[in-house]
Amino acid sequence: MTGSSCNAKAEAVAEKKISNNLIAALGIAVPLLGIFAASFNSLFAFMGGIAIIFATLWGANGVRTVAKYGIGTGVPSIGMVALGGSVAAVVAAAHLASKTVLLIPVIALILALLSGLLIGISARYILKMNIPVMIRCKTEICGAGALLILSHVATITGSFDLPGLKNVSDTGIVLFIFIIGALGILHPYNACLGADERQGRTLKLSLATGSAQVILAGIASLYFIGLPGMITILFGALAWFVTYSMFVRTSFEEGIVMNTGLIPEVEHK
Amino acid sequence: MMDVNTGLGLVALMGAAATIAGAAEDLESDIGSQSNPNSQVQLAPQVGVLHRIFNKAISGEPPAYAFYSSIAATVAWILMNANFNIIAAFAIGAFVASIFHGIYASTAYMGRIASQRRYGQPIYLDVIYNHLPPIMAHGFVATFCILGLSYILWHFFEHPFPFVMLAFIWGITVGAIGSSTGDVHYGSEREYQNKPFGSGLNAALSGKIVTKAEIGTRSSIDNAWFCAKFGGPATGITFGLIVFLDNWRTLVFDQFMAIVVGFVIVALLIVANWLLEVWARKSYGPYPEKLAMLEGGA
Repeated sequence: MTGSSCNAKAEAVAEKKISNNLIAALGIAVPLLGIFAASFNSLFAFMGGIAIIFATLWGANGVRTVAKYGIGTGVPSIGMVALGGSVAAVVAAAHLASKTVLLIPVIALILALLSGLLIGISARYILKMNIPVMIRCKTEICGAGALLILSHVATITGSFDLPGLKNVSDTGIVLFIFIIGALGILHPYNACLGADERQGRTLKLSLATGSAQVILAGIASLYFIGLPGMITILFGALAWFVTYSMFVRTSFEEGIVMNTGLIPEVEHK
Repeated sequence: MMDVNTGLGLVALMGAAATIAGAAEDLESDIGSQSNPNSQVQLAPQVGVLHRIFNKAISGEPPAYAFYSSIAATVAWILMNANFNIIAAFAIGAFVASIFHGIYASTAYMGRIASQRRYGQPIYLDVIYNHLPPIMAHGFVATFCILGLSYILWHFFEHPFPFVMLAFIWGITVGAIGSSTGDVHYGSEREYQNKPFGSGLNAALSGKIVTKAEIGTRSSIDNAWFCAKFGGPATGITFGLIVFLDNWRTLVFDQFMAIVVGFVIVALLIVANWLLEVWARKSYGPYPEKLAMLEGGA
């Protein structure tokens, strides 16, 4: 019953780190392009799905970087900040740029980064949380949250201007966006928390939670844009299948997998 | 505006739906070891206690239930707009939510246990296969009832909030009640069944949860069986009372009196709780002497 594979042995999995800057660059560029593409025509609404996946990737990497400092039960709270800290930025941007709609995502991103910076500085210097990456990560997380909200709005309603935002808030879908977005960003690190957590596996899960959000956004978009929403659902389902399989495969490679069996004996220290 | 009798009937129906939702929610979180007791399950392998217990870390219960309820409500609302039968729309909405519940639960178990490799904790495939269906089923029941009570509030009482928003708010509420009421029964009583209850937990015992069952190894489904005796129903009654009393006072009394009655209900509950606690301490306490008797064996 206690095969060699299930003995307690510290086997740290070799870490191949992906640079935070690369992820941030991808997390800004791809969602911005995706949001514009999704609002171009409702047939392209699924492009907003790509934006959702990459915004989630960026946000989840931010949560991972800051929560690595031993924030256990605080992981969900940090993820919630992503959306909570950026809702106001999105609404303000939609008001400020109501004449030049194309500027909304850029202004929303800038405002969200600023609000994240403010939250980060408060956490670092007022609450005295002694985490060096706090300011950078809070800034990144809020930026990702703003892009995620706009990606969802663009995918679901086919536009990201003030009427689009009003549509989602009047119907209550805005809370649906809030909670699936927040869970999408906080779940990857929260679900992989532990001593042998590895960036690659967590990010694969963030791709999977991003794709799951695409399916949900596609379902919600059926009400607003009708049948083209099916393209989003199909795209999301395909992306989810691929990314979820990648995550499961990686977890099985990195964990000790047993079909069934009793609890193995461990050497007591 | 409807007459008070019909209104009372609907409020009673909401209370009944809330009671079932609360009970199902708590049992579901116990099968998954979500929320507060999760920290002990997460800690166990680090202190050398390996286990076959499910580790479902999907945020806390309130955000998790807001997540399932708003997914279910969105799907149901879209179907209702497409002229679907309402009960069928609820069932399909709750089904879609339970699928996503299962997906997130499976990733949490695999991810967290894979991250405990150095302690030798295995990922048991049969634990995934056996636990996901009950988790999804209890989640389905809870979400379905949340949709029902949100719909009554939205459609019959013409609440100004949109349907999805009401479901979101009730989702957060049921999660918060489950987390504060039911978790004690699972966390303190079941996970530490071999320790005297009510004495608080010594820090040295952190993570040393019970992993053996009456026969064989304890699984999280045994925990649902145990918690169904007290923790689940207690959670259900709590949530049912909150929904019933809160809507009853606004239905029966006009605006100002409803606020006064709300304060009176809270005051009565505080007094009743205080009396209950004093009675319990007198009947079963004082704790230090009980502890000495239980631990010293003399």
